[in-house]
Amino acid sequence: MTILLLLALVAAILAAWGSVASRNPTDYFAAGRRGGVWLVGVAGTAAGVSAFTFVGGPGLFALVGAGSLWMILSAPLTGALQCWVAGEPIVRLARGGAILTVPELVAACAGRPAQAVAALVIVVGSVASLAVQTKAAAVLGEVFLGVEGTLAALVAMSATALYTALGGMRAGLVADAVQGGVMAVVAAGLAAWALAAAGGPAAALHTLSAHRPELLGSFGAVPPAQAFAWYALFCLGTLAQPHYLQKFLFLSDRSQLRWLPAVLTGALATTLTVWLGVGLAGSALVARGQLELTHPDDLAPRLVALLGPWAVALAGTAALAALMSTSASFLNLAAAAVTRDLPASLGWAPRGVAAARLATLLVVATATALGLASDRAVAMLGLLGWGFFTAALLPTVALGLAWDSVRPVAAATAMAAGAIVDLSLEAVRPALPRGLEPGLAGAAVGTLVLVGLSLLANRTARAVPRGRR
Amino acid sequence: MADHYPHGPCGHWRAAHGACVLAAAYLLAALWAPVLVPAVCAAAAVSAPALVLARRSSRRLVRTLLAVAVLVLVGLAGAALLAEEREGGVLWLVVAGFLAPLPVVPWLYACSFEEEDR
Repeated sequence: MTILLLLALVAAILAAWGSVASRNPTDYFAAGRRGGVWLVGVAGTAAGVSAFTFVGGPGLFALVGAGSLWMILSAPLTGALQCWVAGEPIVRLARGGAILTVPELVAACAGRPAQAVAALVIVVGSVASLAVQTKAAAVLGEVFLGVEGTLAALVAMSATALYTALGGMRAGLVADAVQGGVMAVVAAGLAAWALAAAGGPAAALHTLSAHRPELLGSFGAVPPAQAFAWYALFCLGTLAQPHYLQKFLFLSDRSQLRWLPAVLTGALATTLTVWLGVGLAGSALVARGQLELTHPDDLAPRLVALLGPWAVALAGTAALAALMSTSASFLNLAAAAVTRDLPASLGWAPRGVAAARLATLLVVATATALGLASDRAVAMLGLLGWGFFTAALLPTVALGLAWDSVRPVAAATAMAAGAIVDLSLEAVRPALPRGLEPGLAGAAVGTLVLVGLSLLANRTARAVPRGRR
Repeated sequence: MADHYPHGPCGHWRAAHGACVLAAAYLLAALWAPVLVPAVCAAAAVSAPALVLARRSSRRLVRTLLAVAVLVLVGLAGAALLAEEREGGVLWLVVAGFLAPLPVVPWLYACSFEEEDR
């Protein structure tokens, strides 16, 4: 309860500062374009890492062993990949000052119809992701902080909404960076603590080798095709996550990009140690009979409970920080889509900061209600995550920033096709061949649609006499 | 698209063609030849950074991208070869696939960075 009260107090202070500092749309949506490499790098990592890393990741290790690591194996590459493919052109496009949101970026590459579809994708995906974060806050509050789940979820989402609605990304960026720092330090500390409790990494490996050999090897219990598909999904998918792309709009100038991959990679790798450390140590302790699990997701909570009350408090704080930083970005993205991008795509003037504040509150209320209303709905909404954004946005963002022949209708159709393929395949996921990831399949279909329709449109345009265009 | 993309990138059909080939290869492999999925996914991951060549291209940048590709592919290929080695496979995955490229790839990016696109 003390942690929740502290959280509310800090959020109120941040909101008060943010409401004064955030005076115009550039402040509100793009943090005033004042971000340096450390602030943007650590905040970008915080926004990208959700509570799944602290709970779901170690749980997945207990279930499939080393195979789970293929989800995070691309971490050394993704910082540089994002900067090469997306960061450099985004910073150049944003230099003129007209681009403040991800759909505006899509419009710059692919026209107004694409902006409308990108805005819809972001609203749907953001509300769904926020609903999942709400549910995660409820579960984490009960497990780590010992408070009633609904209360924990309401406090966490209200605190996030308070500083995000009043301060926009000026407040959100600072909060994300602080949360990112807390997460990285706590994650590394918990990983080391857990491994020490298991007798060290070598002892944990020997235990698993003797009792659970199926968890070891390069792939653990995951077929190689599935492992490589995860690798590609979480590598290429970084180019399509709106909360990742948004951070490039915050940079003060292009020179900040030079060392941004180093900060992104360092912060991400430090945070991900919790996946490996807690996963490996916890699995070894389970194999020795020192921990009992009823469900793989119980691994992290049970292990930190074994480590003591300080570990529980630290893990709870880090997990709350993870879900709040992710939520702040999605709230701002959804508010921007509703008040700037959808009106702009209809030819109307973008609404101002006051409308965005109102939209932020409406979005958080909708998402919190959805998150708390039904487990079944949340489970379905959980499908609209990383894979959904990858399927819908990857072709248009990655190719649109590199290829000037992308056509507006082609981009809009490709985004819709990618999203539909992803959702359709997610609905029948258990029946899919291992290696067919819905997010990757959606992006693949979207790519073929984007290039095919663009080619067709360009040929048609060339065939029309110049005077009739 | 000049009207939509005032600061626009140059047109590069090779990027579009490459993306299409990889997209089609992934769908075909995932549906009918899962044994080829690792090769297609690895190819997609290491070739994605090459999209930067559509905006700025130099020998130094090409060499950097090749170095990154080799580093990543060595990690992935080693993991595939050590699939049956219980502790060796995990150690390779963590050390060669994760820890070794951590400082190298961002450093290679910084070396390839240019203040302005050409």
